[in-house]
Amino acid sequence: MRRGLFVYTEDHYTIRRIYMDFYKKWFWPLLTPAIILFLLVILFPFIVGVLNSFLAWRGTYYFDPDTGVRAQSVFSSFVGFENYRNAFQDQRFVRALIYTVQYTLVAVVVVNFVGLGLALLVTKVNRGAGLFRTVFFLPNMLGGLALGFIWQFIFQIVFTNILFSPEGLLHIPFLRYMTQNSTKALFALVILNAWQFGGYMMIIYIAGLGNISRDYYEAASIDGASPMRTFRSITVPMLMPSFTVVFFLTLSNSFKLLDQNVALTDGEFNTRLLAMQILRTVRDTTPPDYGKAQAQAVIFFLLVAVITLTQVYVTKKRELEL
Amino acid sequence: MKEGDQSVNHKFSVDSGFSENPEYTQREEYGMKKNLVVLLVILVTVSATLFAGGAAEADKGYDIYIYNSKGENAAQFADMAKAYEAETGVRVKTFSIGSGQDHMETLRAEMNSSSKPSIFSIQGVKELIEWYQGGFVVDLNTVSYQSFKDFASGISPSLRLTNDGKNSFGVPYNVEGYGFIVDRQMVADLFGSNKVDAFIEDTKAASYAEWEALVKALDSYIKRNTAATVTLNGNRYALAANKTGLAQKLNGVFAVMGAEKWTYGDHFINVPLNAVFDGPNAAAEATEAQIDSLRGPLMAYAKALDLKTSYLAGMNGAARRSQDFVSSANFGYDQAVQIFADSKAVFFKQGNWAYGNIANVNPQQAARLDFIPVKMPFQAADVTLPGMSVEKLNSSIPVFVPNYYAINSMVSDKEQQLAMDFLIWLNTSETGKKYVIEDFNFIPYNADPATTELPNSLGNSILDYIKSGNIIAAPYHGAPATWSGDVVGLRLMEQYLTKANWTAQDHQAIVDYAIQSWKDLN
Amino acid sequence: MVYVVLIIITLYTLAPLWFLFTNSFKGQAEIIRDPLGPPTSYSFEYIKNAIEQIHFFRSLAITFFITFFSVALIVLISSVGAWILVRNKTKWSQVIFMAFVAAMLIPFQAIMYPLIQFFDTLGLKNVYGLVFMYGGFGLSMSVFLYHGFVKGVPKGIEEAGIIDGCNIIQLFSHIVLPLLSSITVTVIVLNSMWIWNDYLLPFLVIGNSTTKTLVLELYFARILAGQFGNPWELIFPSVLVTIVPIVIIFLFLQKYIVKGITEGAIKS
Repeated sequence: MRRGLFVYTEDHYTIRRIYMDFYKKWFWPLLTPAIILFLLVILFPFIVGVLNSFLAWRGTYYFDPDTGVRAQSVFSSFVGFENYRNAFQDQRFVRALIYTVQYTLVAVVVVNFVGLGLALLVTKVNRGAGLFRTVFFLPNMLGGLALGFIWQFIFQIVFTNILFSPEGLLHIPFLRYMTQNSTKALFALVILNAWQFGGYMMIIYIAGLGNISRDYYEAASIDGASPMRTFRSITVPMLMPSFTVVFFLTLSNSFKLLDQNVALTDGEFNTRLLAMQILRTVRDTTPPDYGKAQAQAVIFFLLVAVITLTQVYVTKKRELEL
Repeated sequence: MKEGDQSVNHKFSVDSGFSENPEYTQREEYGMKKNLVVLLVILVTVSATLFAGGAAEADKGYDIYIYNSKGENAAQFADMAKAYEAETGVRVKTFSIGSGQDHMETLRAEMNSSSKPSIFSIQGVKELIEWYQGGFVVDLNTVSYQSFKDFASGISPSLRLTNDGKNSFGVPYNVEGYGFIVDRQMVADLFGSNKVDAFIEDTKAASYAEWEALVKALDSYIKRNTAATVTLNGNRYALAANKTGLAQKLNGVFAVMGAEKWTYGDHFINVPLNAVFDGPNAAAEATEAQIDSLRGPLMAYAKALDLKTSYLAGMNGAARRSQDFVSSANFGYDQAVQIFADSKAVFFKQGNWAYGNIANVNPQQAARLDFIPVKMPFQAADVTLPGMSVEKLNSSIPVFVPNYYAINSMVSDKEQQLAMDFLIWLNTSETGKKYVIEDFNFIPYNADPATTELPNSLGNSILDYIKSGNIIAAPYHGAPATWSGDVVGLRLMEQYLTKANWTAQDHQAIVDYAIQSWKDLN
Repeated sequence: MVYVVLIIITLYTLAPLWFLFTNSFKGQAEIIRDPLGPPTSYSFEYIKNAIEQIHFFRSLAITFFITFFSVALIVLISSVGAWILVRNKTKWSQVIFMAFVAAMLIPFQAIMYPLIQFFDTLGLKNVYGLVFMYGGFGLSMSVFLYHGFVKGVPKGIEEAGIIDGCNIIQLFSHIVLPLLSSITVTVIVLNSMWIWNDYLLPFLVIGNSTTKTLVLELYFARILAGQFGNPWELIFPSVLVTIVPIVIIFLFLQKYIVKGITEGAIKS
């Protein structure tokens, strides 16, 4: 182009300014759709939600504690931190919180192990590695609700009546009636999620393992290191970035788990996780206390934020150190 | 990476125009393009909003919208709406959802939307609170539309949806009742076919002691073939010496759904509440003293529950309280219906709504059913409600309205009037009544028990009770929201129905828990 | 030895799907009596019944429509947004990026009710609104993924393009987008998966309309048919038919899917 010829005779500084100005010019236009969507779908509702947590909101109207009926204006429904106080005093909320923490602790460890284990196994074989990878990843494609139904069937009928009953394969009382007891149900959920997400984590670990240069292993075998030693000193440290990703994903997934919880036990027998508790708060109260549910959701958000940010910070630091 | 330099140099590339630079015209071109894009975006957003906003004011596609939360009759309800449209030209949109599930969430979402239901369901005084506070309900006693006002005043006062005794917020869907369902043919096979009517009448009037003896005699008969003679209401009945007909299939006395908390939680526990409260409103305003006075009745409840769950029938032989018993894979609704329909149990505590389920499995049996009242070992001192007695409690069926049609005060006046016309049609016109009785299998709330004959045996049985006045109410609807099913029922399911033997301490613990949790929830 | 272990795990992984398959041909009584064995007869009536009950083809179409347009929207908006965020580093771009990332931590419950109400006043409490909502929700993660990836893409070609006088559309479609193809696959796959299988948001937005997504149909079919107890003879075939489209797509595209996730994992 005519202008092109002209440009090449300019100095480096001006060339730079050209495309920097280009980027600068297009900054806002290209971002506007994203920003609009973000404002409409996330930010605005979130702010309204936080505001609602300070009001006596009942879902279809704002309650005025002074008059006992619908509030004439939003301001007369202001209740300050009462929703938050109620939330913490609500036994079921505290219980769901504890249960979720317990569940997350177990799930993060188990799913991590399963993912890593699968990855190690699959990378050891040459033939059929692709096939195994496909099979292990398949469960991840299926939806939470549908899976919950299948596994409910498995726990209630297959485990309880057939495999582990007194006249079954092996008599293991712990593995029976898993959906009817809160401790057992926790492990039932872990089993379900290990099955569903193990393959996903496996893929990430496989990628991480693939990134470790052969040279390290060669050097180690020349030095006569045992497999355990190799694993500990080479594989594990080099896998830290993958570990960060997997840890981050399983941590936030476990904490926010909902669909599988609903489908497997629907919270019966004290098996409500936090996400479900927030949903069900409005069913537990008459009239439905949406203000309290909103407060619980905000608390939930703060918890998730604190945990994930801490975790990211800690693992990033360790990553850098290595 | 050049990231670092870029930000440094950026300070130098200020937005002054490079007027001498030939690239300026190119920049001008970019500038115009950029403005064009921004303009386009704005236009699209605005027009989308306008279009959407405009669409909201256009015709909604229906004249009235009914939100039906008794979803079991979803298909028939839609048919009924079509029939109404054919008769009157009024377009009806219906939405049905099952009573148990998230019907409230969807309803609230609809109430917040631009297409609010004209008629919606309220399942009792507890659900009424939120709609009353929010100003969504219309007081039927104060409407200006005269024909509807007259119609509404015809609703019997004990069946009205009210929170102060003077207002009335809903038209009942139907009335329901529950008790021990028994198959007349089974009675014939056990005690002789000429004794059936007498047996049933006497059992209705029998005392708890006689009832308990009957249960134990039946159990002994089933397990050991010992044909004893029982006394009911003073008259003697002898079990057939040899098991004949249906009696041969029996393996237990009661078919019970261990996995469904609402049977022993809500309905069974409702009976003792009638010793203290005369209805849901009284229960909703219970004083601490009144709650404490439930101790005696609830002890009777615990003992009766112990009796009922000690003589269980199962799919493949007699069952007992156990982990299996509370599993929905073994003792859910469908399974219990099956057990009874297969004639493996003598009694099945359920409501008249179970008629359809039983008829699906065993239509011949469904035509021969009758109700026996739930009995509990009450003492005279337990009954503190004036006008109530132990005899009445043990010979009456709880009859109540499970669901009401309410009119939404937030829709236009025209829509409200159309809604009122619809409700009148449903409950008084020939077509409407046909749907209510035959297609929905309801007992109409306005049925005259002396003259009405329903196509289902259980419905007729309930009407008999209404006719003879042997009915009690459903105060459990007024107990704290989750108390009966999700708190007490759940506790029973988790801790007691899994235990084979109950001691006196267990009974006491159940009573204490029930009382304490009512107070806590209040 | 390793093979033995792998095969055992494979069987364990596929077992639930085996149950799903065999029990889709059995009646209720048979399922409860003998859940592990193969069906006595391969009767398609349950599957046919399930297809009817969940309005399979209609809900498949609507689910596809929603997923396709939501993902297209997400890809379009987040790719250009993330790209320009990286290319034009200012304080604003840092702030905006942090805002997007922080939004990933907001649990859905915190915004669900105000969102529905708000969209209803805009007249968008329907399928179109649902697409927008998914666009908004998928934005955070996708921007995050694109952002990390774009950082690793050298600017040389773009710069040459700009200097050569490309306009923005040419630049993006011919130069940038091809470079982003592998992360785009990741974005498409990850978002499609959760949108296709999502239950809560469609329930609240279009829960009471006649056209529902596959997951919603499954949920409602179970409620309406089995108010008490579980209608396994309906659930199994229904789940089976809802899974079939996904499995087919997966088997065809698994190479890309796996590649996409791998790359996504490395870059982020």
